[in-house]
Amino acid sequence: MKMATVTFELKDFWSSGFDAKSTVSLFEKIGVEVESVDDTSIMINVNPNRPDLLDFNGILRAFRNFVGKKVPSELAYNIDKTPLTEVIVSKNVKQIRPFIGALIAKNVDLTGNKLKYLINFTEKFCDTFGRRRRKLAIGIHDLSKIDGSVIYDADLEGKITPLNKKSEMRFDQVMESLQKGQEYADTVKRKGKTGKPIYPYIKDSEKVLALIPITNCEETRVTESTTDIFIDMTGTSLNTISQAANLLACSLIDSGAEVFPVRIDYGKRSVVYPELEFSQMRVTASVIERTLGVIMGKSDMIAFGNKMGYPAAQYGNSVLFYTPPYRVDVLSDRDIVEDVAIAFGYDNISPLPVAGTSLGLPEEVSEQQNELSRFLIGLGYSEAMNTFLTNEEVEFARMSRKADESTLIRVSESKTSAYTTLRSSLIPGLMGNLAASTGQKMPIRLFEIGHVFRLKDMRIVEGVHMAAVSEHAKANFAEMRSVIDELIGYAGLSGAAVKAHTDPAFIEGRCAAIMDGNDVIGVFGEIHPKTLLSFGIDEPVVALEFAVIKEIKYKA
Amino acid sequence: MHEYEIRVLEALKKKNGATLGELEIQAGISKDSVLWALEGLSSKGAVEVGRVKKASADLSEEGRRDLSGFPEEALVKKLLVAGGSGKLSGLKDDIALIWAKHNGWIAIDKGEARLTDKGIEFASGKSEYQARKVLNGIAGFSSDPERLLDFLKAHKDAVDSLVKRGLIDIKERVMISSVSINSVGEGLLESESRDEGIGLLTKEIIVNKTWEKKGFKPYDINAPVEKSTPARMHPLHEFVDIIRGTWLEMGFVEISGPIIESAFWNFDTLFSPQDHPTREMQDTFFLSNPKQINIEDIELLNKVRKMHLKGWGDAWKEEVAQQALLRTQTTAVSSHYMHRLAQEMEQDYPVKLFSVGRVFRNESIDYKHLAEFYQCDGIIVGNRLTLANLTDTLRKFYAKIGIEGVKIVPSYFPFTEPSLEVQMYDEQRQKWLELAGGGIIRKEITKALGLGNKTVLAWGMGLERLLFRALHGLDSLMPLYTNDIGWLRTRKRLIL
Repeated sequence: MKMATVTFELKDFWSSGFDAKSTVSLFEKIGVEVESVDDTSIMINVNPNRPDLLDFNGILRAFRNFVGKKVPSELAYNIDKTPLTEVIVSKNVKQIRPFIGALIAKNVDLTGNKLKYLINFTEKFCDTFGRRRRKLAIGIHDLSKIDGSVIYDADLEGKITPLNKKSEMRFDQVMESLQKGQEYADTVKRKGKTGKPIYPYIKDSEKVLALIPITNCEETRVTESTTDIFIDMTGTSLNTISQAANLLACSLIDSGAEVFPVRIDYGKRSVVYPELEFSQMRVTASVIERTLGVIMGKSDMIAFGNKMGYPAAQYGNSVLFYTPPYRVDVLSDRDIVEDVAIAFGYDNISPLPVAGTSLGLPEEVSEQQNELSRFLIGLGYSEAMNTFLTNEEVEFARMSRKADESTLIRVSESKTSAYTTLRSSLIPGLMGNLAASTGQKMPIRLFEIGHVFRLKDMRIVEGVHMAAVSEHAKANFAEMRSVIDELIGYAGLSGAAVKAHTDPAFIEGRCAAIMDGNDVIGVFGEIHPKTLLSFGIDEPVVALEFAVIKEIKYKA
Repeated sequence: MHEYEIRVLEALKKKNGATLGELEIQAGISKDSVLWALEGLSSKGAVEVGRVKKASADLSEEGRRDLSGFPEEALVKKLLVAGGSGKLSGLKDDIALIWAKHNGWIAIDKGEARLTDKGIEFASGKSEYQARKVLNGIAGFSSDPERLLDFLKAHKDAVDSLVKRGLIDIKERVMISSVSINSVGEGLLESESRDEGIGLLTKEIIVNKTWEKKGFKPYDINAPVEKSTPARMHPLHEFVDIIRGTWLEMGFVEISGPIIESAFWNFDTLFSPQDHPTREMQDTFFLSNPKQINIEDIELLNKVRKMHLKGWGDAWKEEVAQQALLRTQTTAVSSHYMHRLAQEMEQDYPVKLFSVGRVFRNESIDYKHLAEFYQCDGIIVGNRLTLANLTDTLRKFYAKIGIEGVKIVPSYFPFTEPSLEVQMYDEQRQKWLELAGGGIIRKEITKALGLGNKTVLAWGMGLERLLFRALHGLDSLMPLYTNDIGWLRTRKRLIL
């Protein structure tokens, strides 16, 4: 899975009572990978299911819980539920970015690295969890610079003084000239048939506070000395906004700030953020033991739950775990079992052999390929393996063959121009290998056994082909003919016959088809000089290719 | 004296002043062996070697292409057909224009190219193109260096211009013209024949038992020999077989599945949210032909839909699940088999399965990142399986292939919970590196696939890191797919 990396200064952990050594070991204990650490800073990789650990306050909380400095409590995030202010939502945003959430925090300490950490956290959070700001974007403002109530609206045009700018700019100018505007250009929605972009923004009674999700305004810029902040969260999913509000509120509360709710007025209905509810989950003790393969008392389970931040209590044969509001990843009891396992320590789980015996059994296709490989190596052919992805130039143009669009499998938007189609034959790849072997001692003999792909009546057919090439001054038809005879004899293809054939890659009159009844299952002969030159080869080459398996029948 | 040296001297006795080619035939040994013998003989002062300066000419790729016609030839012929002139914008080929003008075949005026009299004469086949004649000549004489040198001298101007155009590359070298035996050589040969020992063993000597009386002449055991050209299995194939063999020995059944998959099997059945970044273009090869693969099992489709709506809350679209792609993980194979096991009434659990195969990532390729690579996936399906069973299985596997001291740490994958990662310590980088990921398949998934009452342990591992280790010293995977026979013949054996 894609992970997000964040960097912190070690001194900030030190001032909270964790020295460098215990910081590194605690990260490992709570299941966070330490990417690198030096004298002053530490870089960590955070799994996408734990955005709360992108946050410095979230990490400190996890550390404190783990070492038992703090016992998690359901009362930790109790706040006054009366909204301090409201955001009025206009109908215009409905089709483009329908939802918003907000909260207010006072007495926030943003000194030192704290502001930087908060901004890094929200940016990484919106990048990963927020799907590059499409699903979620977060803005932080100086509360004292906001005049009157906030309105969330959208329009075809508007003006803002973007962060770090001295004067107002039109929305379209911001999109074109600011780096963030270009970076997040794909978040812009267009209106109707005219295709004009429509911009979501928030404003107070005086000014536009933010062009969403691109930039805030300069007037409400937050600095290290700011103490009261207003946070907006916009996006396409109500659930995501609720989770984001919880995450930020918990973080701010844990850092010592006071958090106040904000009411969102959608006209007919309204929502208040943050909700800050714990959710209760009952997990049977035996489920934990049976999942992990570890015998563990219920009091241990509670202790491990506490270490991972869950208030927990025994309830008959079960344990009740209360999932804190900042955890966005807990979907079922298994997620809690995993946290218990992390607290227990993965390396403390004693390995247990799987009960019962079973017989290993190879796949028939692999065995068949191996058998044929050994046979060809015995004939003096070295094995080659080429990529399945190729392009029309190599597979058709250089071979003087014609591509058939109805059978050719094509990938879209490949990052590599050499990889645009899937191969339908093996000889072109081997010809490329011969060209790469220039200057090596002749004869050069190569074979490949591998997948080929085509469409048949719009159905995908995956088959296995075998091909061989031989390059040297005296390579001729008879040489390959004798290989074919050996192969037919070896493989027991009693019905197979050889018939004159025409293939533009080969010399006319020196090319033959291998027939299975009326079906052409292979071709061999002397490669045409035109084909040789197109691959940059100047010695004679004979080649052969045939279908080992016309169509693989996968069992499932 | 070495057998080869004797043979060369004997050949010289028959024809003194022989060329290398003649010596090869007369002595009945390869050119390399003749050269080696001559080196020895020269140092003994037994032969006189005559040397002569010779040339060789190699055609570049462009040069080979031009054998069938120069672009400027095509240009003037096109102009002739077009009535003797043409607009320059329609004649894009710059090289053709430059050389046609240089040859005096065309004049360029007001954005138009017009054939000159000389040009018309040439285009209508009344005169020969010197450059073409010389290029063909060089190609023809390439195996005859002596005549080639004369030919090059005779056509110096044309040759120079072909070199400048990058069509040919001329190399002059000193070659052996003739070899003759001298009195020292004669003497050596004579003393050699007085020596009664047997040289090359023949059928005649064996059956007539000549060896009983004559005995054998000793050979120089350190004399250089011709290099062998062994035919070998591809290292990747050999490596995949080691991995397969290890799982087979551990009682696992090998399975396989389609390379071309639907997003449904590659992502959706594995609980990967539809708006997840890895599904986006930059990582996955989606197909443009065919664009879609239909999911025919409607019941399964609905179960998977339900799982997503419940788990991720977002809209789940059938079209997104039907996108055709190149599989990004062999876990797709495991997902097919979980569903298949659910359809089978009778089955001896636990069922242990593994697959090894190619997977794809749409990445810009460089020496370390390839678009295609190998993965191995496995599942154990049973009634009472635990995380401890999984760690046991993975530790055993790595111990079997020689990797001791692996560490197991928490991890995250959308399809497993709990999830783990197996790591090994890399001495060189002083860092723990990921070897495999795994866990217990989420209940949401087993339920949707019809295995609700079973536990499924699953894991996946990339093979590249292990392969680098096995091919010790290799620092790029490129040679694996370039298949230069020189490398294939000489690469070291795999060491795990």
